[in-house]
Amino acid sequence: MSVSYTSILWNRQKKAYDLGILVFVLVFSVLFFVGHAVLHPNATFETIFIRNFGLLAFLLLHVVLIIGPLARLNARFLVILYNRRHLGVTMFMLAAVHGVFSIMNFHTLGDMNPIKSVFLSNLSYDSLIHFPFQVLGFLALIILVLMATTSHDFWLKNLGPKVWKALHMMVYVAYALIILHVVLGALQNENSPILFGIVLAGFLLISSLHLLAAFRERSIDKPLDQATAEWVKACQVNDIKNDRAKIVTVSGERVAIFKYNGKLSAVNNFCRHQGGPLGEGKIVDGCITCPWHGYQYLPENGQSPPPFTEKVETYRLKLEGEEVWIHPEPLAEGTYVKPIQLAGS
Amino acid sequence: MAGIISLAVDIFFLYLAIGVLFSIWFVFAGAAKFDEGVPKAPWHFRLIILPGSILLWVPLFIKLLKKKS
Ligand code: HEM
Ligand code: FES
Repeated sequence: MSVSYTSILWNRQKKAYDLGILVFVLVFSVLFFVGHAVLHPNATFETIFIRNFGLLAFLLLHVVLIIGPLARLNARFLVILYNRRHLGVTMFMLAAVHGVFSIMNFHTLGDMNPIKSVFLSNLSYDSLIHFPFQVLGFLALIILVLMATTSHDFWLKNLGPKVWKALHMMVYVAYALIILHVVLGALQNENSPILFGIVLAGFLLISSLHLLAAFRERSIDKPLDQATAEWVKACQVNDIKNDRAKIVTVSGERVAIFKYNGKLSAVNNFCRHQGGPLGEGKIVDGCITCPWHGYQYLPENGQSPPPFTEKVETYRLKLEGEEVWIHPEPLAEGTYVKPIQLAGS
Repeated sequence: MAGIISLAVDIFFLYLAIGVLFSIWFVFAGAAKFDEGVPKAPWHFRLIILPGSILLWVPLFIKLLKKKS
């Protein structure tokens, strides 16, 4: 957790993770170059280079997109999620190499500004077959650069969780643009059925995992309240395990209701570190502990214990018999709410 | 069509140029105004937030204005 900022807090796990990414990139590139040299001896070095980095970025984007649902379906995948940020930034850098070299190779020969040339050298915007597919890649790259440059904790804290979340959800827009970029590009170059196959298989994998995770969590995401409701029924006391939480959705926000020490408290589910699901974490040493990287918050006020400064919104609860009711209106981040004392404890 | 695109790209460059100027001020002085973690951070932290502050200078600027009033 942060008192002040460092660039990256390195540890052995992160180093091993990054080494894994590096080895994958190197092995893929060597195989790709050798394979190309054998199968297409006429291809120029630049062409292979550009394709190699485009494909690498595209593959890593798939990994980035499936980690989230995989980790929700099975906790074993939390290992990959742990450092998803480095994966995302690497993916961006590979895509940037691909984009910059494409521009250098195809758009710097005339006397037009190279970026303008991406948009203007081919004006067949009304044609499907001849569409300037490079433009789609360029727009996707802008989204990726925004995400990569705002991946540090500083940005989540200072842009606020809403803006940051919205910015990083744009990865799906980027993904759609990239699919079109690849498909339309492939139509213009050579019709490689393998490339279409990869795109289709990737799309099916990503969408089915997302659907599966959403189906599993449908009970969480079903809002309890209509927009104007006052108190709403959240669950039964017995639905929550000790030192664990139940996640519910009120006023469009996920809220985690924790049971600990014979008490109940509710906080916003979105970890202020990188958006991990607090309600899937445990109470450790009296603190809600995020399952992703272990940031901690006190259940009764949503504040990280001093000297740390992270805070999440809290919610009011009340008990009616065995039923837990929640007030949908969030209280300001870090507001103390007296925990509900459960009978018999 | 070509004229509009050309103009849009020019505006985009202008936006980035202002962002570059803003970001230099931001990483050395502005960021510390709303985040107490910044002054204590090592020098390369400024390098890490530099690209983001070039791209996002408008929301950061608005945030700083709100802070003042
Ligand atoms: C400035 C932005 C971009 C430009 C100018 C650009 C340009 C190109 C060009 C010219 C090709 C055709 C290469 C060939 O077949 O010889 C291509 C293919 C491709 N691009 Fe991009 N691209 C950009 C961004 C991206 C991004 C952000 C991604 C994905 C993360 C991406 C992924 C791909 C893939 C997977 C291919 C197909 C590679 C293949 O044919 O084997 N591109 N791009
Ligand atoms: S997201 Fe990293 S600790 Fe919660």
